[in-house]
Amino acid sequence: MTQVTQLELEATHLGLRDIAGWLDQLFESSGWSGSASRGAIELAIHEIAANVVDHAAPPDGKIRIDATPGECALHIEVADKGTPFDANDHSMPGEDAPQVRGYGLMIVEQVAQTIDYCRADGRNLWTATFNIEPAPAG
Amino acid sequence: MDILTARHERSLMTVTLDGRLDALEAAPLRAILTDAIIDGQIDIIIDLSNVEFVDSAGLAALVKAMKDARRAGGDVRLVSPKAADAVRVFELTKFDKVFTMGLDVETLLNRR
Repeated sequence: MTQVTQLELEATHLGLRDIAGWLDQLFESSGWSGSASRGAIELAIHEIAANVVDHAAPPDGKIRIDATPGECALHIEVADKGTPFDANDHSMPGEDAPQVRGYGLMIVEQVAQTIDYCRADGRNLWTATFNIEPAPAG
Repeated sequence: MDILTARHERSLMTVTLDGRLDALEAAPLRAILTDAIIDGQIDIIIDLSNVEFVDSAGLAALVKAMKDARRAGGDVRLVSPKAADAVRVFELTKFDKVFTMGLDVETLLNRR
């Protein structure tokens, strides 16, 4: 049986929609229901996985997400067997003229406390850590 | 996501969206906006008030339309989403300062 700390999703834009429901379950099982951090964390995980769909195209069509809830932080690993990430092929948007694409990882970097990438055992592995804010009072 | 469009006098068009504006929905929206601008509808108001979530692909569709419209002498203006999960992407990328955004369609129409 798949644990709530794991999610395997189809590497398609439709598959990315599974992240929201899974994150709801994860937050509930971790005692974080109503946390103000949930929406931003969904967006960041969604952007990491969307980057896999758009650029890595894993041949098995799968993305694997593992979550490790801590006391007040969430550690996430996103893995796929697709094309290695090339940082040189990924320009960050500048300050001046607005560009159309390239905002995904910029968003992740602003939401996550840490974000790292490595290539190991034929897999892309993205790791990110997020602080968990308590639920708003009232 | 439903995409409702209405063409008004001269170059004005309004577009009303709901649900999720994500990578799945960005392509059809981009096609609609591109065709409209080619047809001369270069003043576009997009009502995002009932959109629940926007990702970078959805944002990219809006930015492309804004750039195309401005190049043609018009603009793309946005009714701000009510949901925090939809507003977030604009704030994180600072596009809330690039787009003209208002609370409702009437407010944006009166700013013309």
